[in-house]
Amino acid sequence: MSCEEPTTSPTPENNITVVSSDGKEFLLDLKLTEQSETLARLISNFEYDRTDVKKDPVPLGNITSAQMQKIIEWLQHHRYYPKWEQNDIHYSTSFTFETWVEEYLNIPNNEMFELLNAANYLNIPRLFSTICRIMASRITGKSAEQIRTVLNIKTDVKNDVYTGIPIQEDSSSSEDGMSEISLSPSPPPI
Amino acid sequence: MSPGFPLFRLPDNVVLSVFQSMEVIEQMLLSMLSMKTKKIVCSLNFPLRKMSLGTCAPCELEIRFYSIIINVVFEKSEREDAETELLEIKRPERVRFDAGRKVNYALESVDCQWGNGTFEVRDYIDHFMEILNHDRIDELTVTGDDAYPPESIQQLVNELDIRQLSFSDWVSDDNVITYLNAIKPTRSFYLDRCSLFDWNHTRMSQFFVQNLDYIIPDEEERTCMRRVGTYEERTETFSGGSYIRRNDGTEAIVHAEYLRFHLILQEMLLSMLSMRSKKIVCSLNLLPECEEISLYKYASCHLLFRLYPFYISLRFEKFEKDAEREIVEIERPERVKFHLSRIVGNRDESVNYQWENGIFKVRDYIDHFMEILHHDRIDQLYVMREDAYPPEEIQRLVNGLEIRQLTIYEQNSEDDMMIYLNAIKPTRSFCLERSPLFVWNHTKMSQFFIQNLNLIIIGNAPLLTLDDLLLMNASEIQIVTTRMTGKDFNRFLKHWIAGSNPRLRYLWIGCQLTDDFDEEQYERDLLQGIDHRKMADGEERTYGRHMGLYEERTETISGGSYIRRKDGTEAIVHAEEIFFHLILQ
Repeated sequence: MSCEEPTTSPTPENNITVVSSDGKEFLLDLKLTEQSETLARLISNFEYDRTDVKKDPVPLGNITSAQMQKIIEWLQHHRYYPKWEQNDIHYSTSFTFETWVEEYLNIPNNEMFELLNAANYLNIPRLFSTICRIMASRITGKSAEQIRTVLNIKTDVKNDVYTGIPIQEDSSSSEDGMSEISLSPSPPPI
Repeated sequence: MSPGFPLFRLPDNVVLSVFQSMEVIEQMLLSMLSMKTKKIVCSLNFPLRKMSLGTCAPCELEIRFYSIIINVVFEKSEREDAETELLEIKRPERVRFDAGRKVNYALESVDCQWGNGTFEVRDYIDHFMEILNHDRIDELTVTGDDAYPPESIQQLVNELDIRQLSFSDWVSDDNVITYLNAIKPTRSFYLDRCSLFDWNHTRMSQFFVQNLDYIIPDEEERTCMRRVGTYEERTETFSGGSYIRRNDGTEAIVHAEYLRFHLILQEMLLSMLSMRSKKIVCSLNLLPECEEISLYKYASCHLLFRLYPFYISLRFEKFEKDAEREIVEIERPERVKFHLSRIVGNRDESVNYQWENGIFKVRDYIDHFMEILHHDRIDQLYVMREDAYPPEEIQRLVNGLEIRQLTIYEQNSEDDMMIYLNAIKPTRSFCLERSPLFVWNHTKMSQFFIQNLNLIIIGNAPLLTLDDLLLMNASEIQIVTTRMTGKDFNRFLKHWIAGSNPRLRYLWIGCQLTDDFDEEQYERDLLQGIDHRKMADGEERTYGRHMGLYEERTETISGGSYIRRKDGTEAIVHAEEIFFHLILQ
């Protein structure tokens, strides 16, 4: 599904400023913030949707400027999409995605990881769900070994179901393989 | 190469959401990767509907959700030796996942497979039961497959709650008893056929007295819930029926039409289990309207019952091994196939059962069913082919039985045809697809025509003469082709007027069609010298004629002539192309 993207420049009356963890400011249209349940709740609580209320910049300590840039790109693209609704539990959505989405998420795993964290923190369900389904699509039809590689899972049972070879404890929680990832601070539980 | 996605570096709630976003099949696969993934998958609370285990090689576990069905197939070793076959059910070499799921309201299939390690089939069953929070096997289907002996199956499901035990195809009688003893279902069992010859009341009663709940009646009036499988219930509606009340006040609707289709088979099968069950079925008298029992002799022997609106067919199958045993076939079949069908609206509803035969002979089956159906005759005997059973065999098979109609098809040799006609005396009618050519002579055939039959039907009778026709003391005669002419029929009519063929009510006979056949001349020849009166223009008369043994059809005739016998009986004579009708009112 795709929508027309009319260009509207944010004005002080219909936007708020968010500040990323590295101190960069972003001017966000209020219409865009509707896609983020975290921001929408914040705007509603502080009544920032009223023109007579002074709007302070909103600090987003868990989101870097690079992540915020990527998030805004998503929000802009989905500006006129209908409100996100959970699918019928008895039916699955397909593992095929819009070309734009495929290009948007054609990023290294470390960036994907950060984007998923950011989507979770800002509670953007469409983006969160899309990344989850992208992850699911990457393991569909794969063998156990391939799934382990894709999701960096090490088995922690005494004997591997597939090979019968005794194996070591799960070390997926260690920092192995994560050195190149520039992680933002761990998000607080929502 | 990009490092893997660090799934477990995500917060727990996000990990859970990632798992939740996946499809069941991916979740299943993930559950087998580590204890951690297994725990997460366990916490997902799947909306599972049914888990079934089929032991037909290869062993298969079916996991059924609302939108997806997953078959976990435990595949055997490709090394085709007996040792590995048993290994298969214990420790498969390969495991295949076949899943069909509804994606955007369309069906999509996904499959993957992997080489198995140390997991045995039971480990997989336990694993899936655990992650799906399912504490039972809803249905266990055992087959006659030799790959797994009953002990092996028993070991596989030891201590599991088996809700329904189903037998399909060919499980030997001994194995049925072994399974029934070894695996105790908690809800229901389904026998594709009853074990006939291992049966005795003491052995089987223990399985019947269990508190199983296969049928659940519904309280709603004129609808009822019928079980289709272990859990699936189908609401069916019906009209009519009668209310009955038990002493304790329980009310039920008895609806014969609805119940019959499902009961007839059980009744028939039950009737064969013991003398006691036979007596009970006899006394039920639930099948009083048996219209017809027919015996067909093709390459295999068929017994057909017609109980409107049902057709029930018993097929006695021949040995496939050698020709020498063909004679045995009609005496003692190896297999008996049972087919029950009825027409419901525009569709045919049917069920098939089959069982290995023990000591019952075909004649035993005939006697048995005649007894339980309170039917004292074979309505029709069809003799189709000459090769499988010699005529003497057929004669022996029906010896002492009343045969209402004998039908002999033209594939039979003329000698055999004569043997059949001599050996089997039908009480109502006979039907020959053709009359014998070379063995024909008036004396030989006259004995068959002279019987007081209701109906004689002959297809092709080139040697039939006027004398033969005059001897036919039947009330209805239908002969398609003869070499008789209009003049011959004229002589016949004059004999009839004088008093011959006193029982005749309807004659339909074809004359010889020659190159110079003239229809007008034929009509003139027919009534030459006979006092007659033409039917008025537009005048129509109706008459009845037999279509088969019992069915009568009313037809209309116009354009004929009235003639009158000496005793005053009036008839209509009508020529239509090469056919000549004589119709009594």
